[in-house]
Amino acid sequence: MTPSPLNAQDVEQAAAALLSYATTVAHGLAELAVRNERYDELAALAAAAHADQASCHLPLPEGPPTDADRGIDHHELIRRMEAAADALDELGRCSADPREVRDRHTAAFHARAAVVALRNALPVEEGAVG
Amino acid sequence: MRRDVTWGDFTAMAALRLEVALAAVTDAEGRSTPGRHASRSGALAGTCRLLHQYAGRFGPLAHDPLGIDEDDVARLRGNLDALGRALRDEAAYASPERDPVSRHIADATRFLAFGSDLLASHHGPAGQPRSPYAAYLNSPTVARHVIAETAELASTAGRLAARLGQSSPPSRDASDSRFAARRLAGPAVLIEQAAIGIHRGLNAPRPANPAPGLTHLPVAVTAPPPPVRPGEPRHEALLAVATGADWLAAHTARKTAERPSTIGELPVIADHTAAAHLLSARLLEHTSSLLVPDPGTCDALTSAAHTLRAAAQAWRRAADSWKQAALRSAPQISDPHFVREAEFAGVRLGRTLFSDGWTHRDGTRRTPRAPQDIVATRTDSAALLAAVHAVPAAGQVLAEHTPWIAAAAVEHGVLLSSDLAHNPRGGTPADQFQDRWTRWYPALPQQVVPVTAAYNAARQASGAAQSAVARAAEAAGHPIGRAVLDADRRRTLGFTGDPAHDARRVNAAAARTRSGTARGPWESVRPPGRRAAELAREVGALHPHRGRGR
Repeated sequence: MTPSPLNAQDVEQAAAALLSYATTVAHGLAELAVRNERYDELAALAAAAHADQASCHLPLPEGPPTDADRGIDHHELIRRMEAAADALDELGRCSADPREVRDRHTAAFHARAAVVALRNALPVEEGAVG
Repeated sequence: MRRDVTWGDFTAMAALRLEVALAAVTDAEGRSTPGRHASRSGALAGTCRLLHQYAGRFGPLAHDPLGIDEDDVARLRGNLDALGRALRDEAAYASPERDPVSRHIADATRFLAFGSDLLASHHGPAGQPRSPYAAYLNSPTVARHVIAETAELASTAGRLAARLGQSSPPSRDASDSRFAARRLAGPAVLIEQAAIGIHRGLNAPRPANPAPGLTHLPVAVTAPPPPVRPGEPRHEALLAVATGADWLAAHTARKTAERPSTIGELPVIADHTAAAHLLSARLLEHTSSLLVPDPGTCDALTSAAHTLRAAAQAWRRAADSWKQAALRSAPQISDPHFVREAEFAGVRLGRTLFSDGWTHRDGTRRTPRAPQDIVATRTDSAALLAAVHAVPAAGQVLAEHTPWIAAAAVEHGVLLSSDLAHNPRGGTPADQFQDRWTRWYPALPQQVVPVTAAYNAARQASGAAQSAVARAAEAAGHPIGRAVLDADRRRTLGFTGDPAHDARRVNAAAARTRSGTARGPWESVRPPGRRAAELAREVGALHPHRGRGR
C-alpha cells in the first residue's frame, strides 16, 4: 500500500506541530519541577531533547499548533504523541525512499522516547494514569 | 587516576635535562674529545633551533608597554639563531661519538619538540581553532609566559654552550680552540642579557605570572571517547565523561569556524547539557559525605552542587530560547556525533548514580546506588570530581561558541524564523492569504539577541559552577590542574557571549601587541646605555668564567 502524498504530508505536519508543542510543555514541566518536587526535572529535560530530536527528522510545521493542540492536558498530549508515533511508523513502513523510511522511523522512535520521559516527568500518581 | 601530559611537563623535563647536561659538563675535568664535542654541539644546535622557533612564534605577540621590551625579544631570537649556527659549525669538525651528555641534550630537544607539537595541535593547518584554547594561545599573556620560559631555557642552553666552548678539544692550532670558545660564548652572553631583560621586564612594573594555567595545557582533543556500552566499568565511564566533555568543547570551537548547515542539534545539546549539570549536582550531593574527609569543608561541595543546579536551569532556558524566539533551521541534524556525545556524558553520569541500564528517559526517581558503592577509594573520588568538573567546563565553552554559530547561521540564511512580528511579508491574518506568504523566513540578526542573552547567562552560570567545583575538589584534596587553565582562559579572553564584541576583543588584544608603537613613559627614564651596563654587571656575576679563554 502506498500512502497518498497528501496524507503523508498531513501526518508529518501534524506530528511536527505536536512535537513542537511537546517541547514547550516539557520545558514548562522542567521549570515547574524546580519548585515542585513531585515533578521530575531531568525526565522533563529528556522529553524536550527527544521531542526536539524527533522534529529534526520532520519537515518544518507549516502552521502554528492548532487551537485543538493548545491547552490540552498532559495525558491527552501523551496520547496524541503516541498516536503520532504510530502514524509515523506506519508511514515509514509504506515509504519507498530509504531516506524517508529512516527519517520517519527515527522521528517515531524519538517521539516514543519523549512520551516515556514525559510520563516519568509527571507526578507519580498522574504519570501512572496516562 | 590518569592525568593528561601537559605543556608544563614537557618544558619542565626539557629544563631538567639541560640542567643535568650543564652540571655534567661543568664537573668534567679537562677537555672533551673531538667526537664528543661534535655530538654535544650538534644536539645543542637542535635545542637552539626549537627555542628559536618558540621565540619566532610567540615573540611578536609578547612585548607590550607594561611587559617585555621588544628589543630583548629580538635580541633573544637573533642570538639563538647565531648560537645555533655556531654550534652547527662546531659539530661539523668531527664525526659524532656516543656520549651521555649529548643524550641528555638530545632528550631536552625532544621534549621541547613535544611541547611545541602540543601547542601546534590546538590550531588547524589554516590557523582555525581545534580546541577551546586556540584563541587563548594567541593572546599576549600566553606569549609573555612562553617567551619567559623560552628565555629561561635559552639562558641555560647558552651557559651550556659557553661551557662546551671552554672544554672544546685542543686542536693543532692552539688559537683555534680559543676561537671556538669565544664564538660560542659571545651569543651565550647576549642571550643571557636578553633573558635577564625579559624577566626584569615581566617583574618590573608589577610582578606578574603571565599565564599560570598554560602549564596545564594538554593536547587538543581530536577524537571522542568510545560510545557508551552496556556494563561499562565505572572508572572508565567517569574518564569518558571527562574526555567526552573535552571533545565536545573542542568540537564546538572547531564548528565555529565552519559554515553551518543547520542549527537542529543546538537546542538538543542544550537540553542534554542541562541534564548533565543536574546529574553532576545530584552526584555531588549524594556522595558529599565520602568526598570530603572533614565535615567542616562540606560547604564547598554544597555550594558547588547549588551552582550546578542553577547552571542546569540556565541551560534549560537557553534551550527554550530557540523556541521562544521562534527560530528553527532546515529540519535535520548535521552532526549526530555532536548530539550523541552530549547525551553520553549524561548517560554515563546517570549510570554512575543510578544503575547500569539507566537512560535519560528514566528520570531521577530510581533509587540511587549506595554512596560507598560510587566512591569506594580515593581514586574514585578524584575521577568523580574530574568528571563533574568537566561538565560545566565544557558547558562554558559550548555557551561561548553557540551564539557565534547562530550568528553565522543568520549570515548564511540557514536560520529560519516563524515570528509573525518580524515577517517581511507582514504578519496580519490578511497577509497570510496573499501570494508567496511563507510562515518560515530567513531570520534577521536582531532576532538572535534573546538566544545570545540566554546563552550568555548559561555561560556565566556554568563558569560559576566550574569555579565552585574546582574549589570543592581542592577542599576534597584532589585539586584539578585543568581548572587553573580554564580560569586563566576565561580571564584572558573575557568572553561576553556577544560574538561581535568577543571577536573585537580578541582581535584588539592581538593587534595591540602586534603594534610596537604604544610606548610607556618610563622608556625615557632609563636610557639604553645604563641598562646595558647594569645587565653586563649581572651577566658578570652569572658567568664567572667569562673571559678566561681570552
